[in-house]
Amino acid sequence: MGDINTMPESILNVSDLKTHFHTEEGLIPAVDGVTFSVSKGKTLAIVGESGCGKSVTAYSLLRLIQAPGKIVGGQIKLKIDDELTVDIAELREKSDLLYHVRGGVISMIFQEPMTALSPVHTVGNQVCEAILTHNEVSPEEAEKQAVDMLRRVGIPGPEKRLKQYPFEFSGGMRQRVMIAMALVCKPKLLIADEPTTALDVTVQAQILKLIKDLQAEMETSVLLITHDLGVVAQTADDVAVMYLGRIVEQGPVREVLKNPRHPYTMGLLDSLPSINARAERLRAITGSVPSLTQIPAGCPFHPRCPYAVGGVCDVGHRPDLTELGPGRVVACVRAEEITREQPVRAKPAIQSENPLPSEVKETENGDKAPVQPLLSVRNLCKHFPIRSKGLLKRQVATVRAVQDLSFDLYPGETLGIVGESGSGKTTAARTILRAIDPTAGQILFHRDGHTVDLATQSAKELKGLRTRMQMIFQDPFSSLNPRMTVGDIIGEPLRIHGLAEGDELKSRVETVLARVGLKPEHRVRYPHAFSGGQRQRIGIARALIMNPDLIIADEAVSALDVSVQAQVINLLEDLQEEFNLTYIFVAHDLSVIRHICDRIVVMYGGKVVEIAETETLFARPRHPYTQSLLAAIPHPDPDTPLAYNISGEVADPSALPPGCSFHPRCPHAKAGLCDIAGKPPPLQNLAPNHQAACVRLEESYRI
Amino acid sequence: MQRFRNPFQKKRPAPRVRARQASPLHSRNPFRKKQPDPGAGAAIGELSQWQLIFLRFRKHRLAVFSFFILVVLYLSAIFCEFFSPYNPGSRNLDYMHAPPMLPKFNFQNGLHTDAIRMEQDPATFRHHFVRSPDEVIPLGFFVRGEPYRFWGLFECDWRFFGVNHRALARSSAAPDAAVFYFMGADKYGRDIFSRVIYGGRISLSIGILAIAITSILGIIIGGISGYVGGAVDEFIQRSIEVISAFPQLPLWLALAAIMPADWPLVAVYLGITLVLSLLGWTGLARVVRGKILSLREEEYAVAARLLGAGHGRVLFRHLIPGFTSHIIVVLTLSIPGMILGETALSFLGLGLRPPVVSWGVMLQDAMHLQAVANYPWILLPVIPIIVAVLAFNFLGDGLRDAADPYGGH
Repeated sequence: MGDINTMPESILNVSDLKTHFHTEEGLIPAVDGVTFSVSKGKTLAIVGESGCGKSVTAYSLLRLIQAPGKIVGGQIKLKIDDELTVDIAELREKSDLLYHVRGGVISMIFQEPMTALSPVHTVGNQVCEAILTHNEVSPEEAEKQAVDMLRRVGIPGPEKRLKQYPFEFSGGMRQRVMIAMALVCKPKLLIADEPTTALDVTVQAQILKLIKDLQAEMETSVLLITHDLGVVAQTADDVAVMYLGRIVEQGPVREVLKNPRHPYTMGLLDSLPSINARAERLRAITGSVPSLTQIPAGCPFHPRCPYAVGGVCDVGHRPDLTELGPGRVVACVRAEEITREQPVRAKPAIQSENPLPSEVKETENGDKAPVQPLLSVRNLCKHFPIRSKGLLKRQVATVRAVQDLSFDLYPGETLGIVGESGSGKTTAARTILRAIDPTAGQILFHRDGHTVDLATQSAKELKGLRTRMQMIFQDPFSSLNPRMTVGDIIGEPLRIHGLAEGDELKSRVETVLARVGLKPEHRVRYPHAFSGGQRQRIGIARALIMNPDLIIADEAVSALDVSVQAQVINLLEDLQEEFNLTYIFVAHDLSVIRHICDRIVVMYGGKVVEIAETETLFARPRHPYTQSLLAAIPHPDPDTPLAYNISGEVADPSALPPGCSFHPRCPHAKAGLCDIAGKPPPLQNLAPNHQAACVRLEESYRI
Repeated sequence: MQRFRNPFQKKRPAPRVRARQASPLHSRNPFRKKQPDPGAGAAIGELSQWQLIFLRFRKHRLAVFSFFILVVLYLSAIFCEFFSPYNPGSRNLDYMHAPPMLPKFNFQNGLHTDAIRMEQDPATFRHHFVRSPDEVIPLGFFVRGEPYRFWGLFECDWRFFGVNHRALARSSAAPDAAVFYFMGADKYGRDIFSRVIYGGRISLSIGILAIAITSILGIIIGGISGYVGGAVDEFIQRSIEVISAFPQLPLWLALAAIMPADWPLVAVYLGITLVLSLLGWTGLARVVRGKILSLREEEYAVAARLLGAGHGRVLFRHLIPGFTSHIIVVLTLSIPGMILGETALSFLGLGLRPPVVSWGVMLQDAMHLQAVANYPWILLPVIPIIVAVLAFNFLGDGLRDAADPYGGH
């Protein structure tokens, strides 16, 4: 942070901005009096959970709000150059100045790189169009600028790529093109709306670094909209926390994240799994973001706030922002009185030097050693044929989604399967439960002294085993049949297996509903009456009602807001203790995995690259991919910088590189050693319970 | 000619991998996908899918209005003997090509119409009709008219609307022949209005019947194609492509021409229905197949399989309820095509033939340009066709918007 006396000039001043939506359900004050400014060359991040008005704020700045939404008050003062400052809120619709502002002075990057580019125009066309709209240059000159810009955003061979269509680009490359389009006219302000949410963590690290580098180079200001406090910590200079349409806390990023003063900011930070030490319950914010049509009286956060005092916080109007220091404001009447309960800081992921306390390890091992595994997966493979489009449907390629997967799962433990998209983790999970038939391999399920191979069971034999293992799905919206009541959904397994009916069914459903934190009378409602977190609880109740031994959770919390995610994680941990459940937890979010899992399987290109106990893996990752993955997690502490050491994107499982699938991206790869076709590196034992698949393990370790 | 359209093609957003990205953030109006609040949603939370559909349908004014128009049309077709002033076959040679007679109202005569009389131009020998305002024909509701057999069951002579003969007998200014041709008369002096109402019985029912056959074929074949998949799916899809590659009108003509000319009227009627449906099921089959394919991948269907549910339970408890509302919409939107198809075939003389009365058969009279130029009211059967087709389309639109209460709420 610079000296306060030399405050950089601000280029955007938003004061008391109000954007309301008039809908059938009533007036929705999505943005209700927001004031902030963006300084030249700096990054302001707006954070908050979904439904808090972050995106509406961003869209308001460009006047992109559509009916029934309307900017009903406030000013958006934009400094176009030294002489000219305009109020965007006042500009006429369709005025030339507004068009000049959009794209010329302020440009925007959207969340979905897949849909933000037009599929029918070449990438070059779209970048050139942006140039030609705002600058008076010849098409040749525009093309030159486009090539230059694409090179600067790190697209190799830009002359050739210019003539390609967006479908020929991967997700990360498309986001680079979007950034090139946004920056090619040298805007003063770049609005990035969740720019990396749709990307894998390694690609996210690349994109965040790119935005930061370009920002420094071009002196652009950035307004970053995100829900991820890690991204904020790594990129922002200042941060504004929004809740229900208003800013509740604002200030320099270090102060806000390290010394939060508003209970909501504290709650968001406490909900993050990575900050909490493992095995401790997450201190989740209770409840979920209420609907904007029913904003609680007084401080809108008071129903969820642990510090709320009756008669103070729940009466009157919303608390005003009070100044705590230069540029530091908070909207809480008790801001002076409250302090965050001893902030628990876990050691940052990769820097951790001190080894794991050995006694803990021993007892765990001692517990497990004589126990027979619940599930043994041996050499599991799942290949999907890709067939030609013609009449003959010849097989032209094979997607090797899962290759040679082997692991043991012990009763009562939680095994994490982690990897980026396309690494085969979801396919593996579904194959284990025989939602998909495996191509080869064994899935041995040990129970009551018997061992059955799930891979060879017929549909009829499987039916009986279904009561022993269940799945929790990723998407709380599509995993519940919208046409059935919650009671029918949860009771369905009992009906299918003829385990209970009538009053017994009803009472069992009510018991399990109460156990997952819902009310028994919710039985008669339909899923559409519930929020995402509550639906996920219904999904958990359905998996739980038959008292299974094994539950596979496929990205069970990745669709949820961070506070709700913490609640669901806590619930899953409580249930595990209570019912002695064994979990396989599939996720791409390493901090969640770290929090909940005992052991972790890291997958890349359908293969296991490393298996280790959680502490070992985070303290001493041995495979270069694991190391890169851990390094790419944006830590919600501005003083723990993002270590960026990986390029490229996840391997295409239909055309895996020869040898080690990871070698094209690996910083330690050696030609002639790592890329020999037909010789993928085998898993090697490094220590008890620690295996990795890399031929250069000795050299690559901790470089 | 008509084709099945899939009315959901552009409405359904592409499925997204991570639900967080499907959150309001990328839509400019973030309130379209607002989650209902569970606390306040107690009432709406207990409503089933069909109740939600009804609630949303009710808000679509045009569709509700169209629904009532269709109710009126179908009621008048079902009870056409009662609602028509005359029998469809009764001729009055004195009133050949009589122009429409509009009902009037004044306090002296009540509801009445002016009498008209045919005159012959002495020079050109052309017939034309002149109004005689002195002669008043009283009209009324629930009057006695020509006797008929109601649904072929019992004799009756009550009519909903027509010449009030009792008032006529009392009246001094009554003409000697009292007729009331609301939409005029055709070349045999038959009441066009009555024939339009009778024609509705054929034309409107043929649409429903053809759709019934179509839906049975489409749902069964499409369902097999989608659920079984593999080679069966491949074969069915290629067959559908071949069938839909035939030009529709010539094929209809060919199929209609196969029917022997000496078939009884009922057989011809059923034959036409079959011809229409045999070509219409392909689109529906595709919609059903697509729907099953996409619903089968929905996580709740996968979840049901993982719970141990068998094929029957997955299909009947999870998949089929998922698209019945869509099927209803598709069917509603394709009834107009069937009605138009019958009309087209009958108009061309290849469908139904006189003495059967249908809207298409009636329009055969309008084939001659000269007739249309001289007696434009013989085109009036077009009006109910347009009204019925539009009403079905609006109704279908309203149903489509309401049918997916869990989509873009």
